[in-house]
Amino acid sequence: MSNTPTDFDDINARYRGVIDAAVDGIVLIDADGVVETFNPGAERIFGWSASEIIGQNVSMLMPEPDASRHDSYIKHYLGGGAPKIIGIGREVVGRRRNGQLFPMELAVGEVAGLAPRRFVGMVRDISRRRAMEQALAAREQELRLMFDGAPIGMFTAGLDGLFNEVNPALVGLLGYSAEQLLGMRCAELTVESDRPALESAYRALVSGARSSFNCRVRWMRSDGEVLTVEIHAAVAGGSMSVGFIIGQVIDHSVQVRTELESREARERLAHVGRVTTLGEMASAIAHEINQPLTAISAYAQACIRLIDQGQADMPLLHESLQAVAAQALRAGDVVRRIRGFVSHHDGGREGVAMNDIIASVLALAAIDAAANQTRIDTELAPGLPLVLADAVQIQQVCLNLIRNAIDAMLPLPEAARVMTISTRLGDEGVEAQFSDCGPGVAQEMRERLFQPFQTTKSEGMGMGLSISHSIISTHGGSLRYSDAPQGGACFTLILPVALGTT
Amino acid sequence: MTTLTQTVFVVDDDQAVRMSLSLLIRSMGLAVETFESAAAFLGVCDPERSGCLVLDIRMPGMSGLEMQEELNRRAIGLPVIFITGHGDVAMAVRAMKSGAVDFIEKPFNDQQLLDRINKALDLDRNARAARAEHATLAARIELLSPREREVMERIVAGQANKVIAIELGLSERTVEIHRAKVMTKTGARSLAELVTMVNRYAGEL
Repeated sequence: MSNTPTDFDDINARYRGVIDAAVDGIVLIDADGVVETFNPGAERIFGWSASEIIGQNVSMLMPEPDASRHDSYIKHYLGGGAPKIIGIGREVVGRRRNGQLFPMELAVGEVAGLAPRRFVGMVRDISRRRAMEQALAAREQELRLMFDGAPIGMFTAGLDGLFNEVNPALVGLLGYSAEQLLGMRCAELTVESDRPALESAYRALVSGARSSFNCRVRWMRSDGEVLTVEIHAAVAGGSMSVGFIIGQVIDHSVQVRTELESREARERLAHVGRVTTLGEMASAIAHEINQPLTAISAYAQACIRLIDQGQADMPLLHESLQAVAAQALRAGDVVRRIRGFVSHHDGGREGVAMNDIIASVLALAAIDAAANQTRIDTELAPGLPLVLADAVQIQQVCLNLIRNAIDAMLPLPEAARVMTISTRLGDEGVEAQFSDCGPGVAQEMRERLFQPFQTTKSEGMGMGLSISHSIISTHGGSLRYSDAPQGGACFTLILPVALGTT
Repeated sequence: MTTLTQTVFVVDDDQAVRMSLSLLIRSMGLAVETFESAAAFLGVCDPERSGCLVLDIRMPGMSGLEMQEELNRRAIGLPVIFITGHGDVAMAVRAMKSGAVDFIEKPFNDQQLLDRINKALDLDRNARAARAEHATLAARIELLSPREREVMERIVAGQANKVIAIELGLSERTVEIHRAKVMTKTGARSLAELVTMVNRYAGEL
C-alpha cells in the first residue's frame, strides 16, 4: 500500500467513517487521560458532544472512586504493572452527562505504534440488557415461588414422562421424597386400571394431537393409600424447542369420599322406609303398643289408689276412664296397621325375577355383612321364570333371612363366616336357598320355628320368621327349614311361577 | 332435717303416658310436674329444688340419655329413673353407667314405681343434707387461723399437748390456748366430736 497523501486521506476518511458509524462508543485518550476522539456512538451513550469532551480528562465519564483514580490506573500500566483492563475488557459503571450511572461493557486497548502512547476505549451501554436480565430473574423467582408455594401439586416432566421437577405440595400429597419422584413416571403412580386412559392422553399430548388434557385417575401414595386426583397437563416450550410437560394435580379424594358416603347414606335412607327389617319393625310395633298400655295401666292404678284413699271424685274418675278407653283404641289401631301389613293384598304383586330381588337385597345386606366380616356367596341359576310377588315384601323376607344368618355366624371365627344364597327351579316353583355355617336350629326349636315370639336372640322379638312365613304363605309359596349340608341352617323359600311366563 | 317439699319431674313426649303418670304419682301423695321434652325441663330446671326425675329413655329431639349427660355437665345432681321400653336394655345399661339410679320397664307396676321414686327422693334428700353439712363444716373450719389448723390436725391425729408444743416450737400453755380456740370455733363439745367432724369434712371433700 503506497502512502500517497490521497491514499492516506482516503484511509483516514474510511476509518473516520467506521468510527462514526459504530454503534458502540469509541473514545481515544492519550497517556494523560485526555480525550482526543469521541465518536457519535459515545455521544449517544454519555450525552456529551465531542466538542465538549475533547481535551477533557476521560475521568469525567466515570463515577467515583474510578474518576479520581483513573490517572493512577494509567500510570500503573505505563509503569509496567499488570494490566487490569487493557486487552481484557470488563463490565464497569459509566456516568452520563446528567449524572446518571449505567452499566457498560468496556474494552480498552493500547493503540499500537503511536508515540506518545494512546489508548482506545470501546463502550457498549448494557443498561437495557441488564434491566431485562433482572426482570427475567425476578420473573423466574416469582414463578419459582408460585411453583413451590402452590397449594396444589405441580410438576414438569419430559416427553418421556419422567418427572423433571415436583413441587412441595405434590411431594406432600404422594408421600415420596422429591428425589424419589424425580426417577419416576406419572404412569408408575397410577393405579393399573387407570393407566391406559392416562397413557393415551399423554400420547396425544406428545404427538401434538392435543395441547393439553384433563384426566381423573387414581394414584397410589407411598403408603399404599389410593387418591383420586385430577391431572391437568399441557405441553410447554412450543414449537421452538424440545417441549416439556407442565402438570397440575388436584386431590379430589376427600370430595370423592364425601360423595360416596353421602350417596350411600341416601341409598340407605331410601331403603329404610321400604325395607326395614322385620325385626326392627317388630321392635317399633312393640314400642307403639307399649305406650297406650303404659298409660292404661297407670290410669287404672291411679284410679284404684284414689278410690282406696276415698279421694276419688266422680269427674276425675270419669275423665280417667275416658282416657283409658281412648288409649285402648289407640292400641287397637296399631294392631290393625300390623294386620294390614301382612294381610293379603294383591295390589303390589307383579311378575318379578327372583334373582333381581336377591341382587337388590344383597346391595343392602352388603353393609351389614361387611360390618360383621361375613362373606355372602351366590349361586344364581340363569333363565328362571318370573314369580308373582310383591317385591318389597319378598325383599323383607330375604333380608330377614340374611340378617339371621349373619347373626347366627357371629360366634364363628371371621374366616368361617360364609353364607350361600342360591336359586333354582324346583317342582313347586322358584326356590331360593339361604344357608349358613352357624349352629343350625336346635331340634326342640324346629316345631315352633315359625311361630311368633320364638327367639334365641337376646334382643330379638321372635317375630321375623313368623312374619316371613305368613308373607310367603299369602303368596301361595312356602318357607321351610332344613339342616345345611355343612351343618348350619338352611331356609328354602319357594314361590310359584307366575302364569304366562316361562 | 325439717320437712322438705320434693317434686317428681316427669319428662315424656307421649301425652297419654305423661298425664297418666302425673295422676298416678299424685295419687301416691307426691308433688309432680310434667314436661314434654328434655328442652322444656332444662329450660326451667332449678338446681335448688329437691326431687327426682322420671325420664323416658326414647324421645325425639334430645333423648333421655343425652339429657342425663347434659344434667351431669351442669352438675345438677337430681337422681334419674329411666322409663324404658322393650329392647332398650343396652340403653338402660348405658344410663346406669352414667349414674341413673334405676330404670323401670313399660308398662309398670305402680308399687314398683312408688318404691323406686321413694328411693330416689331419699337419695336426693340425703345428698342435699350431706352437701349442707359439709358446707357448715367447711365454714367452721374456715374460721381457724393457720396455726389453729395445724394444732387441730395434730389433736385429731392423737398427739398430746406436750408433743404438739415441741413439734411446733410453742409453749405448752400456748398449745392449750389454741386447742380451746379450735373447740370453740368448730363448736365441738369433745375430742371425739372434733375427730368425727374433721374426718367427715376430709372424707367428703
